[in-house]
Amino acid sequence: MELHQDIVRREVVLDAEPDAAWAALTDPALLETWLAQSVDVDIREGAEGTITDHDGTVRDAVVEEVLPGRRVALRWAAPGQDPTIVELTLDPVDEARTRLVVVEVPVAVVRAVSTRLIGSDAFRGPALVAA
Amino acid sequence: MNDAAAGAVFHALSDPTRRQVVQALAQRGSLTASAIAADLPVSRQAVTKHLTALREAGLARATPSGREVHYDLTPAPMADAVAWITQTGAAWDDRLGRLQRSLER
Repeated sequence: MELHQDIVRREVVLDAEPDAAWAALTDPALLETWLAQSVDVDIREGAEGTITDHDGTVRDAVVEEVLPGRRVALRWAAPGQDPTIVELTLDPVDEARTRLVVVEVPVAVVRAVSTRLIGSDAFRGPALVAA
Repeated sequence: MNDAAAGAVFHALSDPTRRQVVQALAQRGSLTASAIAADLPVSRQAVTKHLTALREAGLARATPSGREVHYDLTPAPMADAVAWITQTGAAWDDRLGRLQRSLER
């Protein structure tokens, strides 16, 4: 079993120019078309709220990092479960396409490796994916 | 996470030497720290520390036997951790599928 800091990682190329991709990650109305049924949190650093899944699971969410055009990091937790960090990072492919990398990692794991991550990355946030 | 212990499992298994200790216990069953250290390039004391971390994550059990302590693997928390990875990955596959469909014109 290979375990490293990217416990769950997905990468997709979106048919969207970078501005449209950024809007999809930060506009609550657009987030409600894909991320969850209800997104009741502003995507700005330090904002707190809830994100309700299609199955009715309500997660408490805190916005940990917003790097305009580049990255959104959330910390969320469903009732009775350990919090995890979700990091959504954009990377332009060409004028019409943008790569999105999603990483979700338990907070306990981020703490365990944070010294190494902070040492290797200039960003303040969890920075699970090299910017 | 499904299980408060799963974060500890990921942490315990993030260390390459601890993974070797887990592998030794999985392949050979009940072992002392000395027996594990004999096959690894680390000291018995280092192995004992790794075994403590594995016990704290619920992945190993210590059984005193005379003057020795035998260690066994208790792998159930590993299955919980794998289940969490599977469920979380499937949830992202669903979300990203919706995102890609929403961007199609």
